[in-house]
This record gives sequence, structure tokens and C-alpha cells, in this order.
Amino acid sequence: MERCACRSVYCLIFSKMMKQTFVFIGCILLWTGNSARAQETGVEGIFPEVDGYDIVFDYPVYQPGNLWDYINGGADAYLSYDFVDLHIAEYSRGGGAPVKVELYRHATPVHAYGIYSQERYPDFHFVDVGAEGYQEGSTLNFVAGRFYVKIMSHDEDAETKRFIQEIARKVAGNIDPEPSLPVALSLFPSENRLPRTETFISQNFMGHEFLSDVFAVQYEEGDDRFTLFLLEKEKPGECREILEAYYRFTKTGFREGEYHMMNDPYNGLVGLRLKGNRIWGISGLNSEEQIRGILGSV
Amino acid sequence: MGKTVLASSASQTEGKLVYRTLGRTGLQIPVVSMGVMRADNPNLVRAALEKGVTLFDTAHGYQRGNNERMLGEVLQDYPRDSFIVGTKVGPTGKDRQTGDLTSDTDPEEFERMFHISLERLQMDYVDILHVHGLSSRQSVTFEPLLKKLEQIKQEGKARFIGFSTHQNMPEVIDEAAESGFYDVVLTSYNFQMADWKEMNHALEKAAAAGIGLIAMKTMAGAFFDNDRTQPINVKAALKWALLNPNIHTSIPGYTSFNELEESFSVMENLHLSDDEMKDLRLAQHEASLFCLGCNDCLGQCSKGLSIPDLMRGYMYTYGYRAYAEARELVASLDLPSEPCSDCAECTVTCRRGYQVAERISRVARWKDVPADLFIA
Repeated sequence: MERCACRSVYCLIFSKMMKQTFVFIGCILLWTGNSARAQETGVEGIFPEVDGYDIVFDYPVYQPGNLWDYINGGADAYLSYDFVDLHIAEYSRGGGAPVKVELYRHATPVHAYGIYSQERYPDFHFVDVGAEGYQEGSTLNFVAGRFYVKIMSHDEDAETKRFIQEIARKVAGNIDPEPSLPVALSLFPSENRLPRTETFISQNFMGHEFLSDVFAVQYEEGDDRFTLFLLEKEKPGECREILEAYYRFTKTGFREGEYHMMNDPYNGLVGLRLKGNRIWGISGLNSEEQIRGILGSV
Repeated sequence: MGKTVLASSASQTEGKLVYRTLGRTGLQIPVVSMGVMRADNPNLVRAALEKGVTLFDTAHGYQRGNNERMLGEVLQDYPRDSFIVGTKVGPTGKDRQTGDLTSDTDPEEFERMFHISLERLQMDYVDILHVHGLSSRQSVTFEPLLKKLEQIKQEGKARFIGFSTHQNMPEVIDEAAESGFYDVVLTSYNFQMADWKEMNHALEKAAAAGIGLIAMKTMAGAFFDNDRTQPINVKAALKWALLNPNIHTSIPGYTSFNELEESFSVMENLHLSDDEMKDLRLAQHEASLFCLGCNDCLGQCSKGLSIPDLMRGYMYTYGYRAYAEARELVASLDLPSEPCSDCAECTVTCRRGYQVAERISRVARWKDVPADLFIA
């Protein structure tokens, strides 16, 4: 679309409306009184009202351009997971430190899960909130739908921790009453699987630019610890292009076939299995036979 | 092996690595280090070590500690004196408006968080402990925190003390130079700041005072244009930062082996080629959207308008396309209608040459846009 030369704020609004026609039609309807739509698409309904607590919205809504102002260099990681915006509210009552609720909204539930999984550690104390969550002292983080939610307070007393759990459950319920983990994770075998090691990596998996949008899970078999990973593309041809890129990286000619053993100069032996529009892979094992055996079972 | 032309009298070249001395720390390090922040592959850190990287920069908050854990795990396999680790811990109780530290700033909490970082890194000490994200003079010399930092240093848990900054840098760095307390400063620095005399003067003053200076955000946002169709020449941008001899090293945040190779390749020849110069000159001559946040314009407006906020609103609008943020910011300023209409001539002079009145006239109209429009 040709840009208007005047570059006024109204023209920018118009430009964005043309680009995101359906979204803004919704907004215009909202502007003209369709408040029900706001409840469906906004975040206002996510912050619950709690008896005895005041809610303060003292922070700006952070977006990709200024997230750095809030979390410094940590922002880059969020941006790589298609961060959309951050909404913050503080719950307070007389005396104690406020409880801060941060809603990081991402483009998709998978991206929200991805950044959550980057910050989750298997040894944390996990709690039944959202699709998955954990509580460490007066910090409770969880993922639900498109939101990665962080709730925290400087107060460490039992009442504050209890309140944090209560508000976490309300927030999670307001986002999605039946949250779930990405479906792809259910495709991974359960045998020898290390709990809470599942991740979604949006870019540069294992340091390779051609490996993006990868689910990975840690496994332990005897003394061996390895990573099983999965890429799913729309078409099998895209998977072949990834394999070709990997062969080029290892400076070896492409070989047709279902199984591919890559001598990766940085990551060691990496086994891959092309299965339709999916690539399954293993890193961390030195035996081709062992790799073939595991890949053959997925 | 051919010698690379030295960009600083404090530099020395060994093979394809260009070394500089990190101020009074005496540490000799390559001008390209590693910002580990987004890296989650231990093999990338190993590859960087193999290439000769010695300084690795992380932070307490990156990946909620997983970044420190991963780095610590990798470095267990290397002699402790073969690498340098810097981590950053953010002080509590910072005033979001002024950047000042307050009575809510708790040095004991800072120490507790630092000890968690040591545990994650599996180390008895770090080489550089940074205070994360200082942005005001007051915060640089906040006595309770300085005492705690001094204690940590005396206990041998941090060899050197520094801080990171990406707002109000000239003032903050100048204060560090005056105070004589800090060994290192980690600062935003990129070619968009070429004409920013105060910034370059502050760097010069800090270097002269013996402070080691590390550059971050050297890519200046990665794209020239709002639509992200004109990528910045990454190598040229990194070289530009390193051409300043007062910058001792940089921490590009590579996450792939290709990016590692590309960052490292700048040391083959630090001088900018004609094409690279052209790329960056182009960048300097284009009307940039990037407000430096220097605050020089404060108090210059005869109407008392908050010019830095309005320029930020312009940047949000036309740079980040963060319309809701821009509207919220402008609405909060309680502007009159047509705020510049009474002035025959604008009294504000912007160091970047922005036509301030013209920009104000564009963004002031946000105040009439209903907030509801942005619920989406």
C-alpha cells in the first residue's frame, strides 16, 4: 500500500487499519460500543478483582520497541519468541509489599510456552496452575494460552505465598479454563524421559540457523543423557531443504534416505530421521546403532 | 600471520584476534567477546572458547538463571584462569521515573541474589560483578550499595566491579569517572551515536580514568527502517564501535555458529571498507527516528512542554509503531490544543537536528485519540 506523505498519526492509524483490517474493524466496533468484543480480546478481564486488595496499573504497556526498558538485555530472548506486549498490575493492601502480576503476551501459545520453557528449571517446585507452572518462594510463574504469567512479591510470608497462589489460579482461569501444553510434546516417548525438560526453541536450535521452531526433550538411558528433538513443517519438501542445509554445513554431499547421520563439527554426532513432514533428531549419543534404534521407535 | 592494523595504542594483535586492555583491570581480552544472554547451546560457548573468546557476559535474570547455569556447566571443563565471567545483578527499589535508587534498595537482597548467581555459575568468584541497568548519577554513587560492592570485592567474590547502562549514558559514565569506584562500565554504544559529543567525551573521560569500557547494543536495532526491510550491516556496525579506542571490547549476542563466525571476522580487519563506510554514512544522514534520550532539550521550551517525552512519543509512533504506548504517553502529558501554535519560532534545539515543533504537531494529536481504539 502506498504511504501517505503527510505521515500524520491518523494516517498511521489508517495504514495499520488497512493492514490489519479485521482486527481494526473489531476495534472500531469496540469504539462504537461493542464492549463484549473487548472482553474477548483485551487483557482487562484477566486481572481479577480480589476483596481487600487495590489494583494499581502504574506501569506502561510494554511492547517490542521498549521491553528493554523493563527487563534490560533479557528482552532479546522474549522478542525471539514473538513477544506482543506486557501488561502489569500491582495488588496491594495496607502495609505489605505489593504483589506484581506480569502478563507477557506472545503471538501464539507455542511461543508463550517457548519462552516459559527457556526460564523453567526442572528442579523448581511445580504447582498445578495453568498448563504448567512453578512457585519459588514468593514468585509463581506459569504459562496459559498465549500468556507467560509471572507473579511476585518481595514479601516472603505464608499469607503472601497463599495469596499469590490464589491470584495465579484466578488469572489462569481467566486466560483459559482448560489450558494445555503444545500437542507436539505428546508425540515424544515417555520411556526414560526426564520430567520438566521439554522446551520449544524458536531460532538457531543447536546454534544452527536452519533449525528453527524445534521441540526438544532430555532423556537419560543408563549413563547416557541425550536430547530428542522434533521439527514439523507444512510440507515434506521443507524438511528436505533443512536436511540439505545440514549436509552443506557439514560439507558432505546429500544422501537420499530416511535416516541421516551428521558429523556436526560443533555438536558431535547428530542423527536425523525424515518422516513425512517431520524431522526427528538426536544429539548427545555416540552410537549410530543406538540412535537408529531410538529414532526408529518414534 | 599478518598483523592487523591496531585501532588503539593499547591494542595488540595475535593472529586474527585483536586484544585490548580492559582499563585498570589489566585484563587483556579480544575486542569481540560473547553476550551469552540468548544462547542456550553449551556448544556455542565451547566454540567461542575455542576461537579465543575469553570474556563471557551473562546476568542473574537472563532465562531466569538458566543462562548462568548453562555457562557455569560449560566452564567447569576449562581452567579458571582461561576465561573471564561477568554477571549482572539488578538492585531493588529503583525509581522507574528517575532511575535513582531509594530507601527500598536493599544491599542485602543484592548480595543474596549475587550469591545465587555464584551458585548457578558453580564458582567461588566472578571476574566482573555489574550492577544491572543504572541510569542516573545518583544511582552510580548510592552509598549503601557501594559499601556492599566494596565488601563483596574485599571478600574476593568479585575481582572487579562495574555496572551496565543504556539510558542517560553520558551522565552516568561521567559520574563513574568522577567517582573512581568502578573498574568497568558496560554501555550501549553504536554508530547512531556518532555525533553525540557528550557520549564520546564521557567514554574518553572514563577510559582516561582507567575504567574498562565494554560496548553492547552495537547493532542499533538491526534495521534502519520501520518496516524492517533494510538491515543494518552488522559487521560494519560492530567495527564502527570498535574503531573507538576507548571501547575495549564488545559483547555481540550471537546465538548461531554463523553469527559467531561473522562477529569474529571483524578482527581480520577492523577498518571500515568504503562500502561499509557508505552504509553507515547513509545511516547517519537519514533522519533517524532514534531519540538519544540525552535530555539536552529539557527546559528549552518556552511553553514548558516536556520535549524528551514528546520525542519519545514520536519514536514510539514512527519508529516502534507502538501506537497505544504513544497515545498513553502523550495523553499523560496534559497538553493544550495545538501546543506550538502561539510560538513564531521554536526555542528548542535538538542535537540530532530534529524539527521539534513539527514532530510535536504530529504526536500531540494522539491526545484526542480514544484509548479504546487500542484494545486488541
